[in-house]
Amino acid sequence: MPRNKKSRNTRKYARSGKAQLAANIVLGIIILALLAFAFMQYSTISGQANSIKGLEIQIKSMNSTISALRANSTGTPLTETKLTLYNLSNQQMPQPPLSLSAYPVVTQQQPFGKRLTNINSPLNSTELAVINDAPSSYFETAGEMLLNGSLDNYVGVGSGLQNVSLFTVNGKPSVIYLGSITCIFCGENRWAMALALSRFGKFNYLFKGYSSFGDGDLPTLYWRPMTYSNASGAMDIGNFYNSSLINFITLEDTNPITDGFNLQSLGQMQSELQQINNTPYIDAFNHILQINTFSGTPYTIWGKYVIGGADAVDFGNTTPSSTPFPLTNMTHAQVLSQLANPSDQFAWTEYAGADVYIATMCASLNNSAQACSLPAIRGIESKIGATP
Amino acid sequence: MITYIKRLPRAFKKIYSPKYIVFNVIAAIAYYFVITYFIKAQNYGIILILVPKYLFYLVIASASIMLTTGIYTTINSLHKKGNAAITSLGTVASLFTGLILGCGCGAPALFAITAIGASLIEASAFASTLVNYSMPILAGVVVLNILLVLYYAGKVSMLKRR
Repeated sequence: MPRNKKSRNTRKYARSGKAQLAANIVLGIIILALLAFAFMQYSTISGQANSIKGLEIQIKSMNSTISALRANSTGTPLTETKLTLYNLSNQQMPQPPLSLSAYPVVTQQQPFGKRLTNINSPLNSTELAVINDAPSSYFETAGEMLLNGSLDNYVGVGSGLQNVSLFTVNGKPSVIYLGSITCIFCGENRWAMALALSRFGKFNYLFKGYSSFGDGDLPTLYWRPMTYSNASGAMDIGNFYNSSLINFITLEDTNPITDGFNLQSLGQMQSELQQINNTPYIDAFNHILQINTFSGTPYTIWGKYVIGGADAVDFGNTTPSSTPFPLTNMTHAQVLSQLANPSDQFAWTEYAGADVYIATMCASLNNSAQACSLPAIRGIESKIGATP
Repeated sequence: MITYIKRLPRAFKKIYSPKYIVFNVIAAIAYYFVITYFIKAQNYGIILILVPKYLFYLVIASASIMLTTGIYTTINSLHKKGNAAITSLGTVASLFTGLILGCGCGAPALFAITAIGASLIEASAFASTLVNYSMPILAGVVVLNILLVLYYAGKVSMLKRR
């Protein structure tokens, strides 16, 4: 091949190569931009999908009611609907043990970030009173701070509330909680949940716990003693909550607390619940499956409202952008002390998170509970769209 | 094999001209931001990494080197389509780690597979598996990137000077 022709071919290859590379890069950028756009849109779309699903469930509930009314008036048999309306009666709630010999209280002091200090130990009466007897004024002040935008941490219901049918056991609507002891957001959110639940009943016992070492090692509350080092995972159900107004159904996935975040699949959880064999809990889990919007823990249903994820992000006085979190370096005593005399953003955020839960439950109870009379609770109901 | 290993330093020297060093740094920064974006989007805006941090930085470093060597090879070889496809595969695998790393308590991105027909139980099994095996998956992506870098370096060492 003549030298100048070879040179022309080389230049041609080089030009076509650069053009192809440029085309590839442009294509790559477009694909990445589309992926990023799709990802950003997903949360919005999923929120809207949740609302649609909520409406769908409401329509099915109404159809079911209409069918029932028709059956009563005409004597024709009830038609089956795809949605099960849970109205269980004469049901026994599970009684968890007060201690687990295989998962004892750890008494030695361990360093922040890698501690099991006091895990599974019950709160003493003074500590329990901080949760059970928190003054209404704290909830009101925090609610006002939420409404006037003076909280630094995130508090809210994410992409929106999802409206579902009530899960009623023994004549009372229920709060259903599905979480994991290893999960950081479950850990920080249980404080707000406990405060909220104290407005509708009392805890006879609560226990000290942590999120997993790999997920913040946050001091938290456990609803019952947990199987905190079970390598094969387990479902720990039940709690020591008493209320004349509501039921509290707690489904906690447990995995070794010394590892990172871990979660069994819903299929595994379901089969473990079948073995435990408690009807309200099996049905509560089926209710979650039927609602079909679970996408991680914590997942809570407050009466007729689903809140996917935590309703507050509270790791300290401001939301940090990465680890370590201020809450990781706090003890249970310090958290309880803050809750007993709130003076910083951390404590007010916990109360505001509790207020959001209270508002959803109040809307489900037609504002019949005493806590529902707080002006801030009414304001939050209206803000988040929770209507009686 | 020994000849191949001996050729590698020369290949890297050939690839890493100032222009490609700058490209590598930019690629690493871009990877960092895209992966942390995926993590933050799933964790209320917090960079919450489920695996040891060194593994997170290893993914970013190996992915950016893979992209740089991949692009160099694509430009300078005649098998552009094949190289571009392999580079894209490595890039997508590396970016996917962002979804796994961010898949903490909440995993909304992974649950998106329900939109393509998976049931909630299947989606949770998928998310649960990725969370539980996040370390080996990330280590696998790092190994994949290193193998691709070696593959490209081998190709570059055999390229004739133009």
